[in-house]
Amino acid sequence: MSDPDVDPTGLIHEEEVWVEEVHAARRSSRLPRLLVLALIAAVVLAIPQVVDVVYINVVSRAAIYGIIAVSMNVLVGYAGQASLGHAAFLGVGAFASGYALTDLGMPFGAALVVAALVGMAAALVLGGVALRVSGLYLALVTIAFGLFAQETLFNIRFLTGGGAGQTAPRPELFSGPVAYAYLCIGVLGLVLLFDWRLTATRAGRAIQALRDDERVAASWGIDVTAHKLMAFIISGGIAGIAGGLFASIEQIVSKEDFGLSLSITFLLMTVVGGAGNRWGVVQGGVLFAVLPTLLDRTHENFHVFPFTELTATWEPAIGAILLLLTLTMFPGGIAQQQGALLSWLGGGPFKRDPDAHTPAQGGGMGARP
Amino acid sequence: METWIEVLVFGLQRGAIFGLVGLGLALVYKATRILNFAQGELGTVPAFTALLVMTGFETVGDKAVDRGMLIPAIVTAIAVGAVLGILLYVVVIRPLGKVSPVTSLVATAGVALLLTTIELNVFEARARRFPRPVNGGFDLPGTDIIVDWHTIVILAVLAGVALALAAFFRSAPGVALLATAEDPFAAELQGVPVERMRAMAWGAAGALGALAGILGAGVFESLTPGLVTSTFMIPAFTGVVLGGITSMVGAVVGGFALGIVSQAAIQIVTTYELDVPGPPQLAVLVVLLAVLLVRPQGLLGKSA
Amino acid sequence: MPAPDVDDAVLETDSVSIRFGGVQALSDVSLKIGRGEIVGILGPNGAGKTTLFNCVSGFYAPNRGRVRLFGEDVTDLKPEERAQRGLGRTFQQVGLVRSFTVLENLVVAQHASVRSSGLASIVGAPSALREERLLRQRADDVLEFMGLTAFRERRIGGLPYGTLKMVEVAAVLATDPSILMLDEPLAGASGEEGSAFCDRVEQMRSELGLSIILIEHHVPLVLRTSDYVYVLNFGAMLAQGLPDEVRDNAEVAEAYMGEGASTLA
Repeated sequence: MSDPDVDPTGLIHEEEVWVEEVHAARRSSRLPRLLVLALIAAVVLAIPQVVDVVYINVVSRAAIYGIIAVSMNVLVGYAGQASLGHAAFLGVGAFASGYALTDLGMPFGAALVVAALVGMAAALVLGGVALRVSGLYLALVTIAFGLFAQETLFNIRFLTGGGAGQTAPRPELFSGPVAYAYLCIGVLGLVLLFDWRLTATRAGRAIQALRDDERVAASWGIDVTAHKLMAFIISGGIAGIAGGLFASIEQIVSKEDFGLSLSITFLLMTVVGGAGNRWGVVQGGVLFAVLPTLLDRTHENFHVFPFTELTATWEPAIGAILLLLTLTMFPGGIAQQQGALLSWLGGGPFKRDPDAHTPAQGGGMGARP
Repeated sequence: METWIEVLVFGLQRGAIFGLVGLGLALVYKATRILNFAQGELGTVPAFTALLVMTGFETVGDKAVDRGMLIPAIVTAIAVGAVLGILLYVVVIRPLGKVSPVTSLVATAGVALLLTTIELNVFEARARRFPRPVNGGFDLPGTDIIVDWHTIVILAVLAGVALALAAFFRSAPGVALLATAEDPFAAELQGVPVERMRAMAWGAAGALGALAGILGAGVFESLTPGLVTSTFMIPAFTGVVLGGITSMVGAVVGGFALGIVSQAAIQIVTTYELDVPGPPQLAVLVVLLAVLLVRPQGLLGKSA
Repeated sequence: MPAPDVDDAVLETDSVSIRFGGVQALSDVSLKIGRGEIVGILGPNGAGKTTLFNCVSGFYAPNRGRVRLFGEDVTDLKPEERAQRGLGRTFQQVGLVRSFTVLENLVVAQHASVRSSGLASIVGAPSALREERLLRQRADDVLEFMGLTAFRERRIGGLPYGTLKMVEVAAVLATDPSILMLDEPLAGASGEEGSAFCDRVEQMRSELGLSIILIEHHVPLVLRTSDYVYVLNFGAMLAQGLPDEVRDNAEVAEAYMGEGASTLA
């Protein structure tokens, strides 16, 4: 890193070398990058076909966790707000979708739209509170909000079926397990596309400017209140959609599915993935979704751990350890470790930027005009 | 009228546990500016340790408790709590360095999750019988209400701890501890062993947590993994916020207030046959929101 | 008394007072900045200079007094609204977005002048892409003006403090302000860099037509650059006048250098 006592001329030279590298990378052929991206996409699309049918629902769940990760990323990674009650938005979307499907007889697509709208409404309520309260106190409010949703909101019998739960049938076109997995992956792709374009809008950038210092954003003419609420609404909407898809994995949901530990898991996967980088958080989501299954399988096959009893019930502990490792030693999470690759795929040099914990994620401003 | 006295009695009983947990939270915050979400598990783990001592170290099955081992069990539990607190500080909090309060909250939440998972795997997800230090109760004069001796024990312990802490913070080491929180750099220059004081504060919080865990499990006469966190943490937090996050007296007052409020909520819903699910949690949430929106520094806290 | 020949003030504070807890941070501070003026604000640490900036830019609400921008009373307006009316400021801690590069910061800073709708940007309409190019071009122009082109692709996190203060000024310039409030831009700068910056401030006035208010501790530079100087002490206006007048003002000298001093610098 630059030392302020270094001869200024030397500093400029260093900068010019970096700028040259960036420009060289931008000028270089796009073909290798496109090939690698195509390869990754092909692998992802092949997974539902290749995986044992026993685990196909895990694939769906992984895609849905990825969607939730993008939702968390908008609120926590971009806008810098605390969210320890995100399971509430998932649940609200899940129950809304279930209700729309069964009680209102809506088609699946429309039910997802309802789920998104309800998620947005819930987020707007929380966002309104977040305007008055910040930092640690906001974190506490989100915890309380999550608990309130689980204990009170999701217990309202006529809306959510109370203890018995709410059914949420799958759409005819995607009712098979493999087809449903493709649906979830498809929605994840659309959500990522949306997020990518979001960061190219002035609203998306303004939201990101809120994270470090709201006063600076305000001094640049950014309406802090409006953009904070926007971040909540977008985040809630995406989480609502995830909820709708989530409800139809097992085709039944109950309030037990949306507790504090799930909210904490969502936060863990965002932090471990690398808050602020969409590719990182999606990988974090996928990791935490498959971790229980992974642990079970490894336990059966390898007995590598000192505890031969390392089954899925240890998953939260592994998650917690990953979190603590990330916070203390690898602040940028998975995304930071993949910094070089992510930078290259985004059109830059194949080099991890030493100055940034969270790598550039391409799209919006990272892309060429 | 009697029902309301009952509400008061139960409210004070629960509130005292909230207060004990809250004292641990306030102590850690006052001393190191960290909001310790793992404070609850700093109670459950020692409670399990006490259970182990009293059942002869059997983790499986449901062996009867040997009441003769009660005192050694309690002492062991408090020691375990203190060690766990110090360990938490040294292994997690210190390596974190200077982070925002939200980050430390998330980190301690991770620790709580870790501890709960370990408990679940070692002790299984079921309830075990847990004894009270003193059984039985007495009639509240002039009414038909029975007040458990356990309630008196909890109140007595709370009073004792509160007095001890009040005295401590007026003494030289106590003032030094406060100084390390206000201005660690200056304290260090003055020769105060900052790291040691912080570790001590966390150890004390762990010991407090252990007391809360044992007495809290005694309230239900059963112990399950994650008990203290799931039952007492949020109300304790709310009590601390209500009382003012830097005030130890506030933590106790807030804890009592929340205890009474949540019991009252249950009573109101029952009496008026309202179809409101989860009344105590709802009441706690309402209080939390009200405090944060109207007077975030709490009743006794200093203005932010 | 404000500068004698200013009747067309771009910025004006009228008896601004503010109190925090037991401390009167500002009492009856009145000042005026004319179009195209460079005004210096001096005062020892804790005199209330940044507090004054915060009142002017809208982050604090004064207990008494009004703030006027181009004759309009903006005292009840939010900071964003004042920024949209042409008020730009820098902060004592560097006011930039840490996760973005220098260029990206300057693009975000142009928020108020972006015309493309959200929809157009999301779908990548040609008009939006064209505006994107314009935003980058403008950002590059500002970087060139400030001599920071070499740092274009750098993340904020890796740059030295002095450079960051300059980047911050560039970002505020990108907002296309009419009035520029600089809060200690030279902290961490060498004497040479300070001098160069003051030349640039003059350039900002002459080439960009800005009116500038400058808080700085480097007294000789401030006296050299400013058309008019205000001196604050303990939240009140201690002295004001032309730089030479203030330089030779014994009270001011004492406030800065202690008893027995008779001139500044």
